[in-house]
Amino acid sequence: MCNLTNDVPQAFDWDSAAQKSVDRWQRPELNHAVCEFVAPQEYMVRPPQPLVYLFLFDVSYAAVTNGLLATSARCILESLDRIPNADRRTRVGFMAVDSSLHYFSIPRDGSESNEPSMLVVSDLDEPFLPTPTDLLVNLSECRANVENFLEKLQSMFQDTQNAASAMGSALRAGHKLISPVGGKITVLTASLPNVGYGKLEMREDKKMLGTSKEGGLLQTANSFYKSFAVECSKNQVSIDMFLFSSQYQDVATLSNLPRYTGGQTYFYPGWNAARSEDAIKFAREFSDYLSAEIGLEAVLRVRATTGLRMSTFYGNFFNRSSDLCAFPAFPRDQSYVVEVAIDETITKPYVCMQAAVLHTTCNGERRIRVLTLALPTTETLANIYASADQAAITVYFSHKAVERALGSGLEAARDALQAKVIEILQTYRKELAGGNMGGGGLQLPHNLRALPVLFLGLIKNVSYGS
Amino acid sequence: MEHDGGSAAHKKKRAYAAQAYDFGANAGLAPGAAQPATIPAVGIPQSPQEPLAAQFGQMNLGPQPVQQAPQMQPPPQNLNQLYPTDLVTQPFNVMELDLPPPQINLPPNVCIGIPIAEPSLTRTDERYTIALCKLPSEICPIDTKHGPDYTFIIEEISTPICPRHSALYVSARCRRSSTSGARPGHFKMSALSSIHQPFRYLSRSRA
Repeated sequence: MCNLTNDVPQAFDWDSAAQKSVDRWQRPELNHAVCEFVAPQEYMVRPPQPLVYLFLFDVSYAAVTNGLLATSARCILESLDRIPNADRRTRVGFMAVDSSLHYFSIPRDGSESNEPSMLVVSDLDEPFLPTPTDLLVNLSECRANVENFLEKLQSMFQDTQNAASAMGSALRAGHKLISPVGGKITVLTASLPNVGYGKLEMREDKKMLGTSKEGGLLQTANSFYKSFAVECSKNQVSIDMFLFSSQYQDVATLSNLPRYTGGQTYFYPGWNAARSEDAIKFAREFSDYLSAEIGLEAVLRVRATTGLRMSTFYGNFFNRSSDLCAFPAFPRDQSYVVEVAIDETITKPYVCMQAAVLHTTCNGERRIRVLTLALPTTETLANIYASADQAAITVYFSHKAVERALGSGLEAARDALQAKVIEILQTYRKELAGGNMGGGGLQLPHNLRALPVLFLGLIKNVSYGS
Repeated sequence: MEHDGGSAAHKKKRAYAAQAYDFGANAGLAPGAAQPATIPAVGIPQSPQEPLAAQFGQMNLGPQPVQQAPQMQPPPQNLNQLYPTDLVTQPFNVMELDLPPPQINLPPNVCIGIPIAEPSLTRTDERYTIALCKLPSEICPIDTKHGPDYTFIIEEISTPICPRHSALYVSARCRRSSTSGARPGHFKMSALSSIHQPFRYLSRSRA
């Protein structure tokens, strides 16, 4: 990292535990750009966290009539075998929400009564846990009764007329339930939270769309969704939002929770189980979601050679300090962007970067994953163009455009994307392709050929409002 | 996800090392010496494992200059070359997204093997993304009990894991800077190979 090449110490050729020699070419840490270390005790402030899923079901009129409750209960039931549980420590819990909070107490298999019981709390301001046990249960020990419960869940609310959703209060209650351990809160809702804590207003006005006021709709409507997300991050609680409303649901506000807790927002506007494509799409994605071998209680740090500085981090996590990113859960299908600033003129022929992620696997092992990268430096524009990675460039600018959209609106974001791809094309043509600005053709080196179409895809994406 | 298959892994590493030697042996780092390729190359450098290149050949409709594909092993040149193309005469095909990014060509003796992880560890598998993208229009009964089978992808994504016993870890330090040298004090991570000192900073994260 300081540009001095050291010899590999002799100690690497010796296994001091087994008292025998080791082939250094067999050592992963010397031979791979990515490797993992099993973390020793010093990296644990408590035993590695088990996998915990708390499901918050919307049981208001909208979610029952569009089939969300039935489909999600069915999908969880059928995916129970896919939820990672190799160490048999995985825990699950279930809550239902309308204008009250419904807790479900699930007895251990083989108890006197195998019937789940529903406990209803209507205090939305200071929700309390109605019973200290059986709300968050070990999946292996309660498997049969969990199945029994999921089969009955749909029928419990089939005749509801309740149009209220106290999801904010339910989130606080759920946090209270799982925060001693940490884990995932999975929210499945088809309603705008309209009562209780963190209640939101229907603020969309069709007349505002396409005007300068539209940017306001992208801002967080209630500060609860930011402060609560930070609280969750502290307690290793990660939130995933599955949103299904056919009406305005304030995704801009609700998505804060996944955004800062290493979660994800899944958006199915106007979803209805009666359409088989909708049902299949959701069931398949939700089942895959449940089966993912995620990491837990993770932190990420990145460092680099002198002269380089990690300036901005993009992705779903919380920046606990300027360069420490915290992930209560580490999904396996998200990417992160680190913007690196060049603080000093680099004269060395190459630079190094290294990222380390301390995390717990879903099988309860504490590990450190280390990713190391060296890149050559250059003063020549041709080398930059010839070595550029179009996929990485596109991901980077998609984050920049989101930032732009939140600050200056959607149109500014689309314009910025378009201006950037034009700049890349123009610079190439002017500096490297003979400078014939008037001639025909659309020239790029072969490694950047996808760039125009990838940028067009971004501009057309529903996220940027076009 | 244990790191298994000792002999296979061993063979692989040997392959890495040999390749690095080729790059290094052939190269003289000459910054600024890179020239845009003078070959009228079109399309993509051909690589033996890619049937794609053949597809592109077929796609090039109309009169085309004879495709003179660059070879898999680049000429003795330490830097990536520019292969100019024209998107109007050779329209983009989505399968090109599967091509790996340009190589990272480092000066000799900077690293062994390839200075970046295998694509399976750094990129989303295209097959997986395409499978997801197709979902809305795909109407077929699915077996959610067993789920769609993505194990073929999952198995490929296995990170090499260092042995369990921490006694096996060697704490290596740079002889000049004693830590990483980058910014002593700020970064306590010294060498990739040691964990006791270098990653201590991570453990305070949950305090």
